[in-house]
Amino acid sequence: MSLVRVPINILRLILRLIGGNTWRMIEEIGAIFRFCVLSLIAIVQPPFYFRLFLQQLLNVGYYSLPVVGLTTLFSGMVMALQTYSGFSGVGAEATLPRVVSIAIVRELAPVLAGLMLAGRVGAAMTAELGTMRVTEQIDAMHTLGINPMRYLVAPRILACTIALPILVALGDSLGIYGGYLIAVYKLGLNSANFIDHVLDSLQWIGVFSGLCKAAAFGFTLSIIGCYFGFHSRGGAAGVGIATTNTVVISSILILILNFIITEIFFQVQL
Amino acid sequence: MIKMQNISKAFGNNHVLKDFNLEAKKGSSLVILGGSGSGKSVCLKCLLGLLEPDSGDMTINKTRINGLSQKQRTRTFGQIGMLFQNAALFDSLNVWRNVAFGLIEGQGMNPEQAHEIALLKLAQVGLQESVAELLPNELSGGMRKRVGLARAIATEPKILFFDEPTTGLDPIMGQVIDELIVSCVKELGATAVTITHDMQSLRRIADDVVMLFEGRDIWHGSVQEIDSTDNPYIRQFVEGSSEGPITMPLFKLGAKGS
Ligand SMILES: Nc1ncnc2c1ncn2[C@@H]1O[C@H](COP(=O)(O)OP(=O)(O)O)[C@@H](O)[C@H]1O
Ligand SMILES: [Mg+2]
Repeated sequence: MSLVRVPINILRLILRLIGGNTWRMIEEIGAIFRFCVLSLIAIVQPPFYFRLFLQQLLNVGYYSLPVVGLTTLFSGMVMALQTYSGFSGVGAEATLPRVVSIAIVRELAPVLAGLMLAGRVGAAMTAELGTMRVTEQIDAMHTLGINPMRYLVAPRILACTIALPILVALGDSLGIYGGYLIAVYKLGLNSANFIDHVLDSLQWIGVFSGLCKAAAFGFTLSIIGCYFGFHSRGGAAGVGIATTNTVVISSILILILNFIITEIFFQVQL
Repeated sequence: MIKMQNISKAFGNNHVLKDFNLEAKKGSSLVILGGSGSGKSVCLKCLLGLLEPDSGDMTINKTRINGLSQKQRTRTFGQIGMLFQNAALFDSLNVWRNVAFGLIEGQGMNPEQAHEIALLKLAQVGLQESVAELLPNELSGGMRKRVGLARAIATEPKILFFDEPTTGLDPIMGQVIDELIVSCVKELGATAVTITHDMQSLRRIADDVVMLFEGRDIWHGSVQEIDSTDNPYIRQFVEGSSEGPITMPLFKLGAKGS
C-alpha cells in the first residue's frame, strides 16, 4: 500500500513545487512591470539629475566601446568567411556583401551588443544597487528626502536606452568593415563592388529595426539590472544571486524581444 | 510629538513587535532600551516609513504617518534626521559629500555653501577637515558613525532618530556625542528618539525611557524614575546583571552545564 503512496506523494510534491514556482514567477513578473512603470514616472518627473545621467552615459556608452567594437568587428569577419564558403564562391561578389551587411545591421550587432552589455553593465548595476540596498544606503537616501528611483534608477535607464543604439550604429560600421577586410584582402573581392553592394542592400528600415532593437535591449537590461539590485536582500550572497539573475534573465529577454521586434518589422515590410 | 500605538510587526513567523507603544514629547529626548535583536531598529524603521507595520497607528504631531509617502513626509515635517546603526554612508561619495547630501540633492543648496556647513558639522562630531576628502571605506567604525551623525544633523531637522550613536566610540568621544545630541534637542528644539545600550549615555541624554522586551513596551518612565523603580527588567538592565527575568539562551546552557 505504501508503495502506491510513494509515487502519489512525489507527484503531489512536484505539483506543489511547480504551482509555488509558477505563482512566484507571476508575482515577480508583476513586480518587474510595476518597477518599469515607476521608473518611467521617475524619468519624466522632475528633478532630473543631469550630472548623474552624463556619468552613466560615459560609463555605459564610452567604456563599452571596445567590447562592442571588437565583438562586431570579428563577427563581421566570420560572417564574410562563412558566407563565402557557404556559397562556395558562386556569386560571392554580389551575395557576400549583402549577407554580411544585413546580418550585422539587423541581427548581430544589436543582439551581441545587448548580450555583452547585459554582462558588463546590467550585472554591474545590480551589484552596485544591491550593495547599496543591503547596506541600507538606499534607506538612508529615502530618509534624506531624495527619491532613489529618480536619483539612482532614472539616470541609468535613460543612459542605457540612449547609449545602446549609438553603440550599435558604431558596431554596424565596424562589423561591415570586418567583412570588407576579409572579402577584399583575403578572398580577393573587388573593393568598389563590395561597397556598392553594401550601400545597395542597406535599406533604412533594416538599419532602423536594428537601432530599435538596440534601444529596447538597453531599456530592458537596465530595468532588469536595477530591479534585481533594488530588491536584493541578505548580504553579499544575496547580491551575488541577484547579479546572476540579472545576467540570465536579461539575456533571455533580449533574445525573446529580438524575435518579437523582428516579427513586427517583418509584418511591416510585407 | 511622536507616538506609536499598538504597533505590531512580524517577519514571517518572527513576531518582532507586539502591540508596542511609544511616546516622545515635542522637544524632548526619548531613549529606547532593550536587548540585542529585540526590535529596536525595526521600531525606528517603522517610524521612518522604511518598514510598514502590520497593525497599529503612528502619528507625528497628531498627523497619522502610516503609509505616508516619503514626499508627503518631507513636505509635512521637513527632513527627518536618521543615524543608522551601521552608519549607511554612501560609499561612492567622500565624507563631506555624504554629510552635504541632504543639503545639495535634497534642498538644492550650492556645493560651496554645503561644503562649509559639512565641515562645521564634522567639527561638531570631532572630525578634522582632513577627513572630509576621504572615502567611507578609509574610515574606522567610530569615525563612520560620527560621519553618519553629522549627516543626520546637517539639515538641522526637527525630528531626529539615532540608532546606537555611541556604540564603538571611546568614552570621551561618547560623551562629546551625547552632548551634541542634548544640544540638538535643547537648542534646536528637536524631538529625538535614541536607541542605546549604554547606561551612562542614557543618563546624559534621556528625558524619558521606554524599555522594549519581547516585542512589548514593558516599562515607561522618566530618566529619574529609572533608579527608583523596582521593575525587575529595568533593575537587571541598569545593573547589567545576568540574574533576573531577562534570560539569554546562552545562560540557560551554562546553567545546565554547571
Ligand atoms: N528586514 C528584515 N527582514 C526580516 N527580519 C528582520 C528584518 N529586520 C529585522 N529583522 C528581525 O527583527 C528582529 C529585530 O531586529 P532589530 O530591530 O535589528 O534588533 P535590535 O533591537 O538589535 O535593533 C531580529 O530578529 C531580526 O532578525
Ligand atoms: Mg539595532
